[in-house]
Amino acid sequence: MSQRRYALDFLDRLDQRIIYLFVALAVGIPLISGYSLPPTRMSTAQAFFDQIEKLSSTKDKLVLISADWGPGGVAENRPQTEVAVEHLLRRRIPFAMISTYALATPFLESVPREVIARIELEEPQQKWTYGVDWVNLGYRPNGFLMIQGLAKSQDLHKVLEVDANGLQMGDIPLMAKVRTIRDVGLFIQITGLVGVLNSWIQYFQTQDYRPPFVHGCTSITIPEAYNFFASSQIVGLFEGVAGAASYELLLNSAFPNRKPGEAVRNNTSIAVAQMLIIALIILGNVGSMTRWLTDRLRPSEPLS
Amino acid sequence: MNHATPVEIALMILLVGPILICIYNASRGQPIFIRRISGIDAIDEAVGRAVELGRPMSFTSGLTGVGPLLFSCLGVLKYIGRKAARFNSKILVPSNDPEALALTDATLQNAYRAENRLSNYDPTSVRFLSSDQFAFASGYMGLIQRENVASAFLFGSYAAESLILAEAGHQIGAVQIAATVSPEQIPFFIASCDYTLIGEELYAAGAFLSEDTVQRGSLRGQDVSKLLLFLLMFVGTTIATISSFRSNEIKQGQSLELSKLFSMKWGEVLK
Amino acid sequence: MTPNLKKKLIALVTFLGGLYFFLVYVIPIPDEQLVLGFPFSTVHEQMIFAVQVVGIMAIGLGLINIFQVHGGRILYLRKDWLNSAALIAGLCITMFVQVQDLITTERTVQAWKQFSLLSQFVSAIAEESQSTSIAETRLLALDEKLQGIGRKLNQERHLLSVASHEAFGTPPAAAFKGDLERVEVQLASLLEAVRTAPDLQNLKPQFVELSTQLRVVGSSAQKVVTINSKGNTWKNLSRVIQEGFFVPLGASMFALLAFYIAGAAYRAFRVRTLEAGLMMLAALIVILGQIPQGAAYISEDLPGIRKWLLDNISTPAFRAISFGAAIAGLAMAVRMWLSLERSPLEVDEKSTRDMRSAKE
Repeated sequence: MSQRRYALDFLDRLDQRIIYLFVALAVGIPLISGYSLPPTRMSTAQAFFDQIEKLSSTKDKLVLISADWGPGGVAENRPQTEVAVEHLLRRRIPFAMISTYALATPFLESVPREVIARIELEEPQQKWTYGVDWVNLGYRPNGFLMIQGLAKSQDLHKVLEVDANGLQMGDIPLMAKVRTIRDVGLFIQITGLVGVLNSWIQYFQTQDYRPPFVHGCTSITIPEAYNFFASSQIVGLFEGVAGAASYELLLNSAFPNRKPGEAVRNNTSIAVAQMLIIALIILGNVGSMTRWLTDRLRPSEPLS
Repeated sequence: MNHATPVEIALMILLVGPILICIYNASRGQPIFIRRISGIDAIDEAVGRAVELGRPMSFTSGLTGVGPLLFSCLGVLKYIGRKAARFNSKILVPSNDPEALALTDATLQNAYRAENRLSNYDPTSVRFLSSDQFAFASGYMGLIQRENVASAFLFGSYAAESLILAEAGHQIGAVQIAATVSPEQIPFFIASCDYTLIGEELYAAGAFLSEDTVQRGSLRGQDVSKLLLFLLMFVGTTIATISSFRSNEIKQGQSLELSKLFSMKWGEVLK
Repeated sequence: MTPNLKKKLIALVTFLGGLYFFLVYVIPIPDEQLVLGFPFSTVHEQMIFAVQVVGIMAIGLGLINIFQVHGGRILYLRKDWLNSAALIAGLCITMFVQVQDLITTERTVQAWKQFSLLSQFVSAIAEESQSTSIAETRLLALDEKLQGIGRKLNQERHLLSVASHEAFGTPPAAAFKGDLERVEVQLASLLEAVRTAPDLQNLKPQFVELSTQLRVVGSSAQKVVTINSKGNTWKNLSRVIQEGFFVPLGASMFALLAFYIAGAAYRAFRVRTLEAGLMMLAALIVILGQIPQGAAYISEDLPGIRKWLLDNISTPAFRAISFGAAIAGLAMAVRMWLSLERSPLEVDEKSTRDMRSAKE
């Protein structure tokens, strides 16, 4: 018996390869052409920005950045780390990079260096020095034990010993006054991994001190991060690359001469892909609806 | 080191007490009703499909490390393994964690032993792929597509690779039953798998399949604990709502006292 | 050992292990409380490390399994044996290169770390000398120590300034040479002072200065060693494997998600019921609220509505699922601790008896 056919039948059964092709075009064309859209303003990114703006640049407190992301998180977590690092560098607030994820090791060194190279090009009279403006503490194994050790330590120099390049803590000027968790003025945690944020929130505190926490997550883990944002356990949030793109708007307002980074471009690419997904969902539903209507209105007609 | 405060100990007793009481009651013969979960019922169908088609089935616990969750997954694996042994059907168990690998291997062997089919057990059916998340995903994709599995069971803890695993199974037309405690992965499994068990339904699967009175009693106890937790939340919400109608100073004072309650040590409580 | 006794022993060990961690959490033992002569925090850390060491040893199990599965396939030339050969070859090459890289790194670190150790040694000498009266034998010992430092410095000069090294002739190498010469001069003058005027109270500042200078030399040496290691073959190979293979492959796998999400969304999101329609509406609002086009072309309120949905619908749902899963996990943990249920790892006694009788 011949199969019943419907108008717009193809909408209900698009080949997956066509969908993949459209996705590749939707993601690739904005990236290659450089087309970008101004991102949505996000209150969570604004909160993140305000936290860094609140910090004093008297270099008595350190900002600790835990970049717990690897190659898989490059598209979303890397722009987040870059904008956060750029803001700290421009405000001359010293920071330290650290990670509990082994695959993050190359990015702990490369991301700050690339950001410094970019902003030194914009402002040739300004220089940022390793050991004075930032330090790379490297990958630290042992997960929550390491985090607990950092929090409880009476002398961070003894716990950390050396940085990622082997320099003694005592030889690093910006670490001179940083001895306990009380000397950490802000903690930035950027990851797409599940469970890492929980460990930092649970263990990076003492009975009477907890630095303000801000977080950067991938789009998949936004709902999980919102749990902590809603309960004020984190006070600023990058919601995927859209958060980083929104942050770039804020940086552009604060530093008008800055050149755009990757976040806005990546965000545009993702936004176009999301519009495509919406279109595909609508088309798929149109195809289903046509089938349903045809069945209801003309049940006896075998073929079109 | 962090130690429990008195309020935390009280909460522990509140949550664990009902579980122990219900286990005791169940072991004394109290009947316990558990509602049917379609995903668990579908396990038998999926196994049957694999047997009929003569294609293998696969079971993976994803990124689950050694812990209570893994033991729940192994309970389900034992059930499926026994069926595979009984009907002489091939089962593949790719693993991400070397520690879990040893336990998984022992469980599958026990399943074959329970069916008196230990001689049919293939030691290469339990395979370590990689500890890296995406290397594991790519290994899993390749494995199930080469072996053309008919049924795939994804029980455990998953992260971003969940959709990759589920889509790989969908592409070969496998019946897929997924169960995860990671809330952010649930939408991906629902979109790609035929049946999805959400949150504690994974733990309930063990009770269902084993028909063990202790596990059934524990399920009931968990529900009682959740109810008590809900009552606590209701009380807290009521207090917060009432205080929101009062002046700002009082409101702030009350909220400070409430949050202090949870961090008070023994000395402060006894005063 | 009978199966029953084995079962009871396992249950006892499980209970005691769980009891330890439970009591540690519940009883507020001070970190400095002594247990077996050690502070409790140290004892507790070592217990946790012991558990981790067992876990690390399990990595060997994974390797054995890989060789078992794929090695057998290669040996008997079964289906897809070439793929297995590629896997084993990749595994062996990566392990070899990483081990060589580790050895090289350790050697380079040791090359300059000697100075840091010497610096600590000098500080210790300074502290020791201040606290006790100096007898002649102690003075001779101090003399010997300082001469030993001189010999060590000489060795390090030879190791670090060889012409064939990458750093030869570069500014860091010149800086290192200069710092080393300054330290040697300082050491010689301190040695002379110890021999001629053995009032070590007055010499403490010189000891401290020597210790500081040794650390400066260590920093210069570290720069030289870093340059020398840049051209190292094993380091470059390791970088190729990491940045040439591992990073792009990981990123590519993650990128597959974009395609799969589109395919799964198209396939699965069909409005067949009222609930599905509501879910679709919520999903559309969340997506449109996040992307620029939503606020720009549809409504400026979309980001606010999106945030409301995330705060008031999504977050409570996530919390509910998390609470349920956490309580279920707690229940499972209690059952395992108290050995209340039959573990899937337990062997069925009935089937074991059946098998034995079948064999007989």
